[in-house]
Amino acid sequence: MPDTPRYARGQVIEIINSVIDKMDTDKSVTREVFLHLSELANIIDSLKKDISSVQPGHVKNSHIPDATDELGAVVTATAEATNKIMSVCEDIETIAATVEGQSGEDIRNKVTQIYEACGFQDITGQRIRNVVSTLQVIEEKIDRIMETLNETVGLKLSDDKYEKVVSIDDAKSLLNGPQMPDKAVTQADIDKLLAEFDSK
Amino acid sequence: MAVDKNMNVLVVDDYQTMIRIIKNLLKQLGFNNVDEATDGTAAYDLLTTKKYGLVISDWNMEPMSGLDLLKKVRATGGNDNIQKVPFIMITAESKTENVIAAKQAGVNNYIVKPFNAETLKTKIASVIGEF
Repeated sequence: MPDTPRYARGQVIEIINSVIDKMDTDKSVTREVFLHLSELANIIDSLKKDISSVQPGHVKNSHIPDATDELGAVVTATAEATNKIMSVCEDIETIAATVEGQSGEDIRNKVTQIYEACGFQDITGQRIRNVVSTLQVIEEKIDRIMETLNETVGLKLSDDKYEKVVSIDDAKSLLNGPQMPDKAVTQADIDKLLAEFDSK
Repeated sequence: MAVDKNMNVLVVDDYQTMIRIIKNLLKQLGFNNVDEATDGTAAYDLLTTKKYGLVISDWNMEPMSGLDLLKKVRATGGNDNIQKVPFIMITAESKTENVIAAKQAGVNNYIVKPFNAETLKTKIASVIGEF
């Protein structure tokens, strides 16, 4: 692939302004060309505003890390659930050993099927690991795009994190799914909060 | 020759859940002497300390993968107990290239996840004999 020229910060704007200045002093240049260049400058300016409003920094700094954490929590939760299921199966097997005849055999066969089904945790874990790798690639690409925009058109994008505003007056903002274990409000906290209402 | 179900079996997988599943299924098949390792390096260390009759290993592990473990095992000169140990790969990697690479490295059989108890039994039997 041929090398594309790289421009320094704001150089594109500088080039356009330079051409416009030159045209001001050279009356042989048609007004039509001048208008086209002015329009081009406006388009670039508008594009910068549009990109800024999309806030790609939020995707890199908040959305992707949050999605990665959520996926990690899925792996942890399914592993815990699978281990609980298998513990119960092991107990059932112990009990089945005391059951004579076909019934004992039937119970053992059913337990075997549960063991087989528990293999889902390994498979889903690997799939989630692949998704996390893809998210990391997207994060790197966004980083590169932000860097290039800053270098070429002087577009300094915000490095802020996205903070979702949750309000009791906005029903949609209250739908956030399960909280991460380290940030979740406990049942005891909820009971305490409810008790405070009742005592008023 | 009759299969000695008292043989040592080594299960290698980086997912504890999968180790537990395989160990439980092996127990149902009558194999009770089962050790575990979570990657190729730990598995190889165990192979040097004890004689195993069968290794059942995952592929995708860090730092040493199942394929690297298999290659290291088959390249171990002067110790037949390690070099010739029956080796079954049990993995979600199911592309033709994977199977060929494993076969070229000396794998005895190959099980694709997800698998069932019957497949595990059949593949073990094909490697160490009917039991």
